Amino acid sequence: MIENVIAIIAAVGGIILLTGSLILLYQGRITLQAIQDRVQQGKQSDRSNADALSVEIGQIKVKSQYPTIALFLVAAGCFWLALQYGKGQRRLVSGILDDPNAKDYTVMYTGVMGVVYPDDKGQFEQEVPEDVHLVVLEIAKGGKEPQKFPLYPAKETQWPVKCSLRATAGTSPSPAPTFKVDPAQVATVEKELPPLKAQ
Amino acid sequence: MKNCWRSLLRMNLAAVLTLAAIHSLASELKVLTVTGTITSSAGRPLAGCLVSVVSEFGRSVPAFTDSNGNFTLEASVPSGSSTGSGNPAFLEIYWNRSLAFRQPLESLAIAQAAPNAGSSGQAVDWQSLWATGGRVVLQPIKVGK
Repeated sequence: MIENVIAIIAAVGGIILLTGSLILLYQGRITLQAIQDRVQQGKQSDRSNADALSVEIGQIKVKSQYPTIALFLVAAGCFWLALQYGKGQRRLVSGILDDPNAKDYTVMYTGVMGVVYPDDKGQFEQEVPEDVHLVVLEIAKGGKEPQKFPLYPAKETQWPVKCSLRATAGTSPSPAPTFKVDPAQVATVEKELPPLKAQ
Repeated sequence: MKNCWRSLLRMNLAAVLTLAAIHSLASELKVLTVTGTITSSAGRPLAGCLVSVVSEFGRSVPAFTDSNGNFTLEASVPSGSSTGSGNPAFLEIYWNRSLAFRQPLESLAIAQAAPNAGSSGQAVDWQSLWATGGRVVLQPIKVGK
């Protein structure tokens, strides 16, 4: 909630600064000239060392003698802040697969579009947007019918969630244990394609 | 002052062109509902295969095959995703973590298809599906040795 308020304040501040600087620019109160130039032309009082913007954050130093650029930079900073706070918060949804061959399985986070693979201990995890109320985990391996595990992330109290696969129910009528990939069926591609696994 | 307005005009023009390009790309994407069956080379249905349509522009939400080897998925593909266009859409099938099958969609045989608009009474091919989007049922796909 507070993040949304900060995002809105920052965004409104950015818009006001941007619009304000455009109006000031139009009215001629500020110019695209550097302060030094204006001093040399006698349009401004002698403040030869004055900067329109001077920011020092640790090793980072930003200085500008151009008032317009300074205003635009501050506006850009406000927009950046709004974007940072406006980005959806994410939650880690993790699970553990209760199966001796857990690492052979693929876990799909339905509705979130993410495929993950459990590690040797059967553990898996994936970040999902915080406002997602229901995540359906679909878990399967070659020759086995997929099994579904609905999760309500906001209601879960213990992570990782334990997923116990039904022992034999839903087994494919043809488990095809001797499946072998035929390389001839995998076409080569000129350009790299988006990965299957969630990033 | 003149320079300032020129810069602003250029920035606005760039923004308008970018938005137009995004809108154009979005309107070029067509939604295809792809249904099919995955079988072994012996013709037995393969459960638990992960199926996905992928092109240079993105990947569909993948789907597992059920106990009968059937799958259904929705894919947004660029209009004119033929091999000749330079950005073909592929059907990929994964067996556990291994990529077992990847072929251009247009190389797969259609069992039944219903484009979103027109072509009633005409033979339906991939070209009309690329143009309008719609539903397509593929003939069973044999995977593996």
